[in-house]
Amino acid sequence: MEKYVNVNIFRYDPDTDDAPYFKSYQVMAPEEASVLVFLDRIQKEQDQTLSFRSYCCGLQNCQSCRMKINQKPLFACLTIIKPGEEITVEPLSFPDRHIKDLVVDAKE
Amino acid sequence: MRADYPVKKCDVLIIGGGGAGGLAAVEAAKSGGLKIVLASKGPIGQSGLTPTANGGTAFHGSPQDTFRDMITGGRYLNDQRIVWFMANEIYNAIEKIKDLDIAITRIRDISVCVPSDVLMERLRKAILQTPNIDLLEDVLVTRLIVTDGRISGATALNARTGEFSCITAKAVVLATGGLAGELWTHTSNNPFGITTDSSGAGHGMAHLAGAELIDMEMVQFVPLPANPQCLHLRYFPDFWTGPYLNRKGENIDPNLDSHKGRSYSHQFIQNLCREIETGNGPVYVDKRDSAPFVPTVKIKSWGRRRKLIKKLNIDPHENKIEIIIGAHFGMGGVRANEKTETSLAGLFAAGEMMGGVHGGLRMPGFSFSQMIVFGLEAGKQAALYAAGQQDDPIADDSLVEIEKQNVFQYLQAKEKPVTLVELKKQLNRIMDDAVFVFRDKAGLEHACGAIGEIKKKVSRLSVPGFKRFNLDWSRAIEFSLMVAVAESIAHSALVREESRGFHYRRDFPDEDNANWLRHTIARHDAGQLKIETCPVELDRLAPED
Repeated sequence: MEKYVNVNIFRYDPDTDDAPYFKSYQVMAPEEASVLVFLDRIQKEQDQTLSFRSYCCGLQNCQSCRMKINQKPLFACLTIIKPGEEITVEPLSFPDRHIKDLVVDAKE
Repeated sequence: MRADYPVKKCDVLIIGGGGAGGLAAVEAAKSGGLKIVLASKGPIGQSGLTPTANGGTAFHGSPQDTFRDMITGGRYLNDQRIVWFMANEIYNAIEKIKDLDIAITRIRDISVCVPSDVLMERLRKAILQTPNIDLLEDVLVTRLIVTDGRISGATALNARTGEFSCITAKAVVLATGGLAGELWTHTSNNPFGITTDSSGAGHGMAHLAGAELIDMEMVQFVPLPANPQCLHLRYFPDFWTGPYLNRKGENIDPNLDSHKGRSYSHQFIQNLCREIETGNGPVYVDKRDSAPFVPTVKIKSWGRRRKLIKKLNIDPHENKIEIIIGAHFGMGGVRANEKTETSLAGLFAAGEMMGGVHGGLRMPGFSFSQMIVFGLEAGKQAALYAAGQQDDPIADDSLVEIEKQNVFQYLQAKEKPVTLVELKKQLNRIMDDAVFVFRDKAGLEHACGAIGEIKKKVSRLSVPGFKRFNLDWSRAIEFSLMVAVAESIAHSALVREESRGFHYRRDFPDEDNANWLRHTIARHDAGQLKIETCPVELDRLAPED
């Protein structure tokens, strides 16, 4: 059985990058987990330069983890991916209110 | 000398973007004429533990009843003046919350529900509409600055830009939340295992600035669903009542209902741990034979939580659910009085980080009561204090420069670098092994030594060199403060040679009222941690024995 998921992530640091690009990560996935869990794993285990809003209320109370997942605006904390799946994640908004990678200034 | 960092001036600086900080800001701004700055490491409503909470806000009938329940529940270790004030003030505080246009739902006659999502949304709106509040979001305060024995401001890092700055203030309110989120491997604070950054960094800042910490050994542990493994969920009301069963299907604690706080009680958690230690684990919550849960009130976020429990297949009414134990709440914290004044002039403490409120056990619903009562009170008192200060505070430039260098050294390459993940794992292991539910002298002494070793390694922490929204940079800064908190917990636990509330010593298994109706006080003195003790004042209620 496939024990990985593939996550394509929108990357852009306006301080150092000329233009946005996508970077692909293969992550160990012994069992299904949420997009937010996989992003956390990537940041901790593979790429410390990844920025995302890692805060999680776990209840859809806070909107902090909203991002585009396969082009749809969704809660990363409750969007579950299964081993073998591939997804693309992007910030909710770009270039407006964009800060870095998946982080936007989420509120007016 | 001209400082090479921006300086922002205000009268009252409030640190923390949860319920306590938000309420303090709105209240402090009411006196008018004062400039308030609210600095929060995340956006309001998207940081801290408030948005994760059920919203239950408890009082147990009359002020006298509330007082008695809190003191007997806390095993007489609470500060009785604080509790008396809180037990009397809670009704007014709830009325004040209603001014923010929040629908409060009454739950039986002992509590109300203040919906946390609505509270934070309304607070943010109120803050933005108040001209004399300057809201700084994604701004991490890194250190408190003390000049001539008085608070004069703080240093801060803007996570969006990596800009370091100084904020001078006549009064500072610390409302930085809990300490149970990062020190132990398992915790209820981090839904799905993802951080809420409840690191105790504010406790660490207060401590290093010279403020006293009180009863830091008192940490509440609670049962959590063990699976799915990467989705440790926050506690759910259905888990309050049990029954909890061991591997053989025997009821672990038939007297669960008689413990104050039920499955939040130290008696229950200690029984659970004994069961696991004697080889009767794993342990489960199993409500398949219990009456179905019929909610008496309809609360939106509770409905969402229930749906989620069903979706993840961890509804104890449908399956037996394996349980692990995780850290939940720090009863210890920054020592303050009922006016939220700390031992450091100009520094006020509100919310979970304020110690002395719960003693040895925090009962369900009382953290929101604490947040509301003392969030408002801290705002009021800090504004009064600031209004009485004539001169503008001057933050000592040399202190700010030292902190600036400290903050930026994490970005530099190190000779023998250690990673944050690695060092945090080491700290978690120490806390899991020796500063957990059961403690003893040998284990705690070892933990104190091992935490000292971690402290030495903090200067070797190295994070990637970019400045914009660098997660590990912020976390490294907080980690250095967390280590100071861990140290104060372990040392305080070593000093308290008895068992009381959530502090259980195998080598001193009894509550010792003859010798230990005393607080532990942790103080940072000339670079050293010192633990002293002082008697609990029992002027309103004393134990009978």
